[in-house]
Amino acid sequence: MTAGALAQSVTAVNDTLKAFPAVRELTAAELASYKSTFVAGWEIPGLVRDQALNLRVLLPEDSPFGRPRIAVHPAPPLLAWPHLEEHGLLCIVPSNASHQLRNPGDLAVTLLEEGRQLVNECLNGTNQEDFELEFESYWSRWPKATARLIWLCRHDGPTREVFAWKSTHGVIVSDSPAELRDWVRNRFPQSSDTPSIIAIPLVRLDRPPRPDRYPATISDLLNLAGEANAAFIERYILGQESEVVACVAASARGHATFGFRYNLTDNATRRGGRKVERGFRPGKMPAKIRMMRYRSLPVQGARVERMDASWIHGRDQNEMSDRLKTKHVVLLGVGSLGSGVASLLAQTGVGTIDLVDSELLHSQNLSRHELGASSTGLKKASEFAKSLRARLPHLNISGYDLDAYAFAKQHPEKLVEADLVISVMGDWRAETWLNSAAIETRRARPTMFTWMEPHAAAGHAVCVQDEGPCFRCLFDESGNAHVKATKWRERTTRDVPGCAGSFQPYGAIELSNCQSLAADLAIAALTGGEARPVHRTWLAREKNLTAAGGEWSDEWIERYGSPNVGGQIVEVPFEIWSGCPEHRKQ
Amino acid sequence: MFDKSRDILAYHDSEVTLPQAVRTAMRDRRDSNRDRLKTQLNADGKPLPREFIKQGSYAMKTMAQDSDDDYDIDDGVYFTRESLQDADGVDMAPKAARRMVCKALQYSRFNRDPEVKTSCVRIYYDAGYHVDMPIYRIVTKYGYEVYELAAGDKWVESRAVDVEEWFDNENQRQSTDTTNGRQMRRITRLIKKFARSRNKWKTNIAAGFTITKLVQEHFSPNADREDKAVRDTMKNIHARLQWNLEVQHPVTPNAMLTDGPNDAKTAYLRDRLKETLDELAVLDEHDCTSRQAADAWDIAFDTTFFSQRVSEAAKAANITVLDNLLSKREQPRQYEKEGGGRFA
Repeated sequence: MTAGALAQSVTAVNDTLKAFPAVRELTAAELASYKSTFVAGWEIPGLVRDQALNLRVLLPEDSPFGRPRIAVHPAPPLLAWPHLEEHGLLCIVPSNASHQLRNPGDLAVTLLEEGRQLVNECLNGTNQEDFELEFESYWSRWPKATARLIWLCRHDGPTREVFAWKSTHGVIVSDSPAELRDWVRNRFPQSSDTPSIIAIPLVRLDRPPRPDRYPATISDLLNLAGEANAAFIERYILGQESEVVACVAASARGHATFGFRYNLTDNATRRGGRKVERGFRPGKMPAKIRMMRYRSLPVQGARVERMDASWIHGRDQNEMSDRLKTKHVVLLGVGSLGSGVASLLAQTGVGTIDLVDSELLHSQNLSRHELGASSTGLKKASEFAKSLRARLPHLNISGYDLDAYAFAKQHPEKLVEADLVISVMGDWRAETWLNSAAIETRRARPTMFTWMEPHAAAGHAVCVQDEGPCFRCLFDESGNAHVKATKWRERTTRDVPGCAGSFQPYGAIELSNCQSLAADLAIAALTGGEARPVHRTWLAREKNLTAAGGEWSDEWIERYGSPNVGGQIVEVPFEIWSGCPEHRKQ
Repeated sequence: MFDKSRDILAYHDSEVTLPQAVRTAMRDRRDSNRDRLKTQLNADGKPLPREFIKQGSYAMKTMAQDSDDDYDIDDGVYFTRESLQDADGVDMAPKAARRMVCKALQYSRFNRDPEVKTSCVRIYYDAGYHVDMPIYRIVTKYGYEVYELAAGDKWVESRAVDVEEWFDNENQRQSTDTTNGRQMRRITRLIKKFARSRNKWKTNIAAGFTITKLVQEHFSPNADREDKAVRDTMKNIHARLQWNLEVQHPVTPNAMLTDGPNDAKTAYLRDRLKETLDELAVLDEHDCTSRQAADAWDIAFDTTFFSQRVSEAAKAANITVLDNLLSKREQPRQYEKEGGGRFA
């Protein structure tokens, strides 16, 4: 489709580069050597400090939409320089950068100049610190980094003992055995293995290592670790408890995590004895000599996949992550609105979520529920809890296949102690009960209620505290809101064959706005951002409202002004209603 | 003609003329030989030379670099006639004189012993380099000192010592410049370099002294163009050799440097010059490029020097061109690192 654009791009770059007195077009074989689909290339000598090195401009097959790449030839070995990729390609511009498309020749010249500067810096050795700043790019390219660590530990702690389980998926490392077991159970629910947990050292280094210090042997590793850390590691080596070391080091761009594995038992003689014990009776070798012999054993680097909360919920740059990790939410109602809210709260990092719902998932729910076809006929709460645990195994998510009353009866402490209780039930009976129970028990922490108006054309999220207005303040005795945002000419509920069978038509798109409204208010309530009673409303686009047969209600317009074209969130005054039965009781 | 004057001069300075370090090493070896000879002759109770006088291309400073380090220094040993006579006044035979010198030059550190040759004693060094010491006796004739070379079985009058003076005078007279050895000397070196540029030519082509004489005869000076000077001199020599292959000794009366009217080696030189001048014809084409001119001179001297200079010059120019292209860009900001602030 874009063959013409490609041809023009090749011509434009060629016309620009032929201004160089010494320039050579690359052959097809040279282009193929890059193992990428470069369709044209040019080599220009004499641009960098080392005259033996040439720079190459390489055009990809999607040029001009794809950017030219710059390579150095002959290519230094990988890890000799920062920003050097395979085959001598230079990493100059991030992959998500945008570039001008009109003049490919100018772009090529710009990148050539930046490549020249980069190579000269590499030759001068002035950018070696980049090996530390971008540690993981280089560590992952180290041929000896073939092992895998799954990391659940805190990244900002000191050198300490942590715990590991060696699984077929890699070694999983955690600060506590309990956290490790929970994670494994959540992540691999089908596995019948009982985790066999060992203690291993986690050492904090002053800085991430540069490639010339990547260790080849245990001796190198101990030298890298420094004296104090080395002594700590040696205890585990001599104890033969573990053959894993986890490491973390801070740099200006954040924490680098990596690890090592070594094998102390691979050193057997043909007769089954251990080479390391050669010359000594079994068990009689002095520790000093044993350690000296262990030092020469090779180590294997381990790449880390961080699965801890701090990383998942913000790559160590989300201040709220630590706070949310300690929070407990009880979410009553795991329907279309509730499942979305729960998903958002889990993705934001709420540490403990109890999902409560007694109903089954049906196929007609699939278009607007987080669960899929494989869960139809199953209980929403437990099934969705299982799904969320598999997605985010570091969180503590439980499902209770109960209605709100039964849950309150069986787990009263949870409703009292939870940092936030959210009702997503849309059920007058259950919600008035919940509201009353919260007042009666003097629940000190917030309770939230969230629901939608017909066609999800408006959504409400209300947060009540121990004092001030309550849920009942918003409704008359029969459960009609004093002020609705929308009004409808006809009945909006649709019927289906079945006793009291009806449904409210709205889709996943309209629903998503209400889900994010509720989740946003919940997070604010959890982090102390909203310490007062709050009522927020999502008002859909007027076009959608009208298309569904609705319009803004007169009461809303009179009280709060016309939403006009809609598509906004508003915060409306939330005051005690003088007719509120709960407040009259008090 | 495409101007490669600067490249020819650079080639001369880099690849033709002997580096000072080599000349110094040669001089040191020459001096060692002189000292060893005097010491041993004295120890053997033999006559001592009155003087040593350098001669040949080493003396004329027309030596050119050789890829095999095949250098030939000539250092004349001069005895008085009287010192070479016995108690009865009988002259020492030429061969005996050469043997006497050869014996005195023996040295345990030489891998190969010095040898008596027809007209000299040859001292061998590693890598093909050798020093020839012709032996002379100084004879007074008609009130003048005359030098006689121990050549074969005879003492033959020789004016080798005058050759250096002859060349220096001609160099001064014909050259238009006064630096870098002067142009005639440089052209001599260049054409000698050309003549020994291929291994298979070395044993078949005219001797260095013959070439020196031919250059002196047909030198074409050019104050502004070294390349024209060497090419025109080549043309002149070729034209001359087409009608006469014989070359006279410049200072020794009635002596020839060639072997008869059909001298094979000068004929070989003539034919190689013809081939080379044909290759250089491209220089006169109006659209001759720098690369083509460089290639032609590379062929002439069997080298890659000239084409490498073109490549090096082009390489050196690339950085200037890059700066120029950068300054001509429509806009300096060609890309946005953060993708224009959009995320998904």
